[in-house]
Amino acid sequence: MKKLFVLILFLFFLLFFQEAEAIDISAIGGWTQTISASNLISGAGSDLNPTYTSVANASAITITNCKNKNDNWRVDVRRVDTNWHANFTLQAQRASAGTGAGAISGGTTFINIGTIDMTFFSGSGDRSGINCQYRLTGMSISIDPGTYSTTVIYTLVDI
Amino acid sequence: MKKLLICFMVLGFVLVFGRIAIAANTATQSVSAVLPGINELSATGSPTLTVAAPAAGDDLAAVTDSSSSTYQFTTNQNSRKITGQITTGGDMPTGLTLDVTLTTTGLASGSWSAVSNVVLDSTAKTLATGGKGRTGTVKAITYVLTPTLDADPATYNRTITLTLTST
Repeated sequence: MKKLFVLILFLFFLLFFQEAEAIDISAIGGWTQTISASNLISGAGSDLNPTYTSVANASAITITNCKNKNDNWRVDVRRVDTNWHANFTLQAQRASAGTGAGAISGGTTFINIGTIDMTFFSGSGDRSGINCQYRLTGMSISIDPGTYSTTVIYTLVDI
Repeated sequence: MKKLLICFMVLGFVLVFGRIAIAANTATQSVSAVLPGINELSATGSPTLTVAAPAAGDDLAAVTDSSSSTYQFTTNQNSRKITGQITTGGDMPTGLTLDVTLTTTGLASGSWSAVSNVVLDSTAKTLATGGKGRTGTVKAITYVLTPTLDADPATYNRTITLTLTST
């Protein structure tokens, strides 16, 4: 019985020890695009501009807790819709490399953010201030007025 | 011994699957698009309708202008209408009737129907109704000035205001 207790303690230790070692990802920012009549392509009679692009640093991603600068990771991206229109396409691109001792690559052209994870960019080591830019396409006057929202989920995969 | 074996198996699962589960974590960001109701209408043109002197014994003839004035609209809402009214100069004088018809065919999107020959005065009259859509290219506004001999000879100026609003 004593051995069993010791083993369970050991398991808990291993579990939390690994948590402490896991690479972390965090993000700040987000994007709200407000459309208005000023977005009509050529005033009354015309349709809305279909495409909107956020500022380059709409979101800033930081990756921490790598073992060293050679500790490799990958960031996947997907979205979970709250109230999203089927005509909309949301895209993201990495607009800066951020800073850190390791490396970063990929993601520098817009990719569609779907509802299943897809590789966004990858790198190694701690890295902070990786700017991400969004692009929304598919806007038109055929879409009912309203607020359309989705949550972009960045998943860090330790590789 | 059996318990020990179970413990080692659990330990194995924790080491293998626990690592996988913990190795991926997430960060989230909100993205929103706020789309308000958009109702834009514009109109151009300053038509001059001149009543010609009739031949002796004839009635005065109505004057039509369908090439001097145009309008355009865009709306992303349903249950809309365009109204028209005289906003400066007051109602038409005795002996003169001004009516208007909007062209609502050939829209870029949506379906609208116009009321023909709406007599204008200083109250808002419905000229056309429809929903979400847009004109695309400019559409003609047709004015008809109908005189009778009761009208005093003069120049009358009126401003017509079109409004896109909810029904």
